[in-house]
Amino acid sequence: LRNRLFVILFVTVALILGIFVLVIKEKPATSILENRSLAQLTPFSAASWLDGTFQSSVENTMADHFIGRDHWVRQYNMMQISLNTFMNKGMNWLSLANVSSPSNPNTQDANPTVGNQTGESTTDGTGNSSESENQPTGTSSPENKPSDDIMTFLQDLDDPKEAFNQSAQVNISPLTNQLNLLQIDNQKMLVKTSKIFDQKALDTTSQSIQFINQLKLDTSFDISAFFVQTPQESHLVYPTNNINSILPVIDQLDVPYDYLAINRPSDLLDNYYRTDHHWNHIGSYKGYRQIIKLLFGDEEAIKVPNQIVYFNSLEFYGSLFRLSGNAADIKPDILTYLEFSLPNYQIEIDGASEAQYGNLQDYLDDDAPNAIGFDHYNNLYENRQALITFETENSDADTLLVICDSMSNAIKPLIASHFHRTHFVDLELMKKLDPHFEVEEYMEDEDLDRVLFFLSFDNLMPGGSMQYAK
Amino acid sequence: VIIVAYYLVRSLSAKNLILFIGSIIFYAWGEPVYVVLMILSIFNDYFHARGIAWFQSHDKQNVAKGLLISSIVVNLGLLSVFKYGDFFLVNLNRLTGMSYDLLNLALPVGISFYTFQTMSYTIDVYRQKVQVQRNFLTLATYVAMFPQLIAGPIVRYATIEQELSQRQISWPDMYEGVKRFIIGLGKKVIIANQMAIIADAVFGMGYETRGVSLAWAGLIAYAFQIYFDFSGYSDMAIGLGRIFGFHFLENFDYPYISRSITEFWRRWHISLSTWFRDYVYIPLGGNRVRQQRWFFNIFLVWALTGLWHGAAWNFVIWGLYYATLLVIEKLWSIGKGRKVPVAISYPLTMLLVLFGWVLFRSETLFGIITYSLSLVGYFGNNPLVQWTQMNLIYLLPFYGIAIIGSTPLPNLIIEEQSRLKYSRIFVDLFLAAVFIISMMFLINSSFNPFIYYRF
Repeated sequence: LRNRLFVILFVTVALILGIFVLVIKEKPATSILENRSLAQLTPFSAASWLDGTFQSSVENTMADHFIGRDHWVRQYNMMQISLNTFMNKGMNWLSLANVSSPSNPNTQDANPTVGNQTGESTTDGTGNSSESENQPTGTSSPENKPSDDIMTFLQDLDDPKEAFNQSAQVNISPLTNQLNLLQIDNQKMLVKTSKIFDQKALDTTSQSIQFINQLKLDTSFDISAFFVQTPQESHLVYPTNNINSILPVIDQLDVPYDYLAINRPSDLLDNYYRTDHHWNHIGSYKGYRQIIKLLFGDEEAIKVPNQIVYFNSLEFYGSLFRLSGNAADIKPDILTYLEFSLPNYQIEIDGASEAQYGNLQDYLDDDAPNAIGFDHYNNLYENRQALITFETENSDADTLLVICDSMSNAIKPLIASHFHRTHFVDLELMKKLDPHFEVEEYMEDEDLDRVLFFLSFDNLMPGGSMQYAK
Repeated sequence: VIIVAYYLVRSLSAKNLILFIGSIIFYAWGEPVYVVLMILSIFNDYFHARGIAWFQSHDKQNVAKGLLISSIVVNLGLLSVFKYGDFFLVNLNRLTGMSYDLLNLALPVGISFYTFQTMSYTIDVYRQKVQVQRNFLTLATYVAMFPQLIAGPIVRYATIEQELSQRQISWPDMYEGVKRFIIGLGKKVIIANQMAIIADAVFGMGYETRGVSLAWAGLIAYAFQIYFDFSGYSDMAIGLGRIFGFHFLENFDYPYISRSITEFWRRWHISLSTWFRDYVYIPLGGNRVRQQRWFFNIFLVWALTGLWHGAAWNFVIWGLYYATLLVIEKLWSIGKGRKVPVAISYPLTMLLVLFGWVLFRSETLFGIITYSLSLVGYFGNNPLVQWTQMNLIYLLPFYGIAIIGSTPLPNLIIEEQSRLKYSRIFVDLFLAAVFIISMMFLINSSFNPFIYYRF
């Protein structure tokens, strides 16, 4: 009897698990937990069978819509976290004090000038003008800092908080197979597993650099490059990822370039969200300043924020927290936003006209989704898109093509405010929108003057978006 | 669904039909075009074997022999074209400086397995070891049977000849089948796939950054990966076969407890080594020939064994490596009765087997050399931080599971437990836990095909 019971139970469970997934009609399109779209069934046809797409779609659908998938994902991550915690007990896998900091050979942080705030209407970054400038945009929900804080904010950019111990020990402990937990002076931060800076990484980076150089050789475009060193590319986090090994390759660039460096522990904590892989308002503003200095050669053009908006009512658990299956033991971030006086824009996303960039108003109205792990960074600014164009009325200004990744989301309108037309292209997504996209041809077709490569170092390496550059 | 349908019908021929249709759908799921090739292969051996039996019964041995040769030529021809065609052309182009176009044919899944199965059937009919199968459906069910179709074990017709036409299916058999299937699933999903993460990371990293500790960790991980992957699949195949009333022979017998290379190959991929022994080595004369010829036989068989695993030189080198080791072992022990203490023979055997996996896994000579240099510390050591950076630390406990799982210890414990009153409950709970944990791993894993799919 026991044999029968066991066999029948096993076959029944296998049948239910297998068939249930395929017969349910309501299949969610996205997974908030994993921040990705979920597979859907491809209609059956002889062609889809023969080329294997139908079979793949069935297998992917079964995996993506498995009964209680989120629960399984969370359990899996919790298992990994428990194993890592167990392995880490009593064993200091990494002690990184006194790791020498490489210096940024190219530039130092730019000093912004205060001003350039008159004569333009204040926008909220969505293209919608508001009546006055320097007026807090938030409602009673977001807590708006007084504008006096802007001066403190600017001072802090170049002179990090003294209270913070710059020789703090950075300890890292693994959480899951994609994620580590950093602890810096008892402050926690999540960081992705890194690519190894090996010969393959250097070779691919070199190919990315050569692509830019070749573009410079073949054309008369004004080309610049700006890179972002993210925590997982920092020697402070992973000592073997010494940025000094990548810099000589980057230095082969025949065009002006700069990068946002991580030189000290405070750069990690100050510039990046602790639960998301993107930079926060401080990091993105630092990046913006360097870009403008790079593009215009002086600091006069750098815009100064009107105010910093803190969305305190939201608990921002970012992409890295989601990577842990919402299981990492870490406090949420506070979502932040810098408000600037910006011109009116005509915005197009993937060729379609759009009234706004991102969803700032929802946040100001306290109407933003508040699910744990919701992708606020991309929702506040704008989701990753293949092509976003901004056009201002300033027809005397230059036109610019920006080859970018999602780091640019936070400052796209800000960069665009300096140009007449600005086209932001995400090469990875563009591959799907226009498989024949070529930078040179696009520049000529769109009559653009300048090109800015604005990418994380990660995207120069194997698997990065520069592999799609043509 | 196939299991349910299989048990809903009563007659054996209907069961065979369901099994055949299910197997064809299963194969066509992954190979919608090459399913035709497999059916042609079955037709080839069905008609050749019928012809061989007919001519033998009419005392026309020469014609029967001709048909056998014809069958082997067709089988090996298909295998040569689809598996070795481009390998041959690439090497021909290199040697002659010509530039013949490559065939660029995709390798049909499981072709090495089903070709060897059909060949063994026809040869055994010729040797009159088995009766010719007059029912095409029965033969097709044997060849296409989905549990072992794509990654073995190589089930010989003789093994299940009786069961194809007369088999008893009992609940205890089904229970044992389900149990074996779950254990195989757990081996693959819980152990092999985790070991694969380490092995892929280490073998995939730049050689200059691969220090001695990571090199050894990656190699040991790969050794466990390939064992648990392949033996896991064999367990699942044996388990599913049992559910359908078939008893396949074992394919692995704890190879990592071997104390010599000869013993290792008695325990590893048994169905392949015995196939080569019975259909190549012994017909060549085996060891009942002059010593030089004997060693030639060994080298030929092992070169073919290597080539069976893939159309690449590293597999040939891997086969010849084992041939050399086996010859050395035989020379060492012939007539001298020498015995090496376990304390030496076991670690030495494992070291040699591990180095064999370097040859097996590295796709180029450069890869073999650089990995070997990493193993002896030529590229220095890896700091512990690299383990963190590569996020491999949480996988370390899986080495422990793999070490224990590759010995007879778990089975001994289960056997010991079975004497206790409520042991079955614990075994069932253990199986349920393995199944649930496997589901969790499966849902979270990316595509992880069985290694032996590509052979």
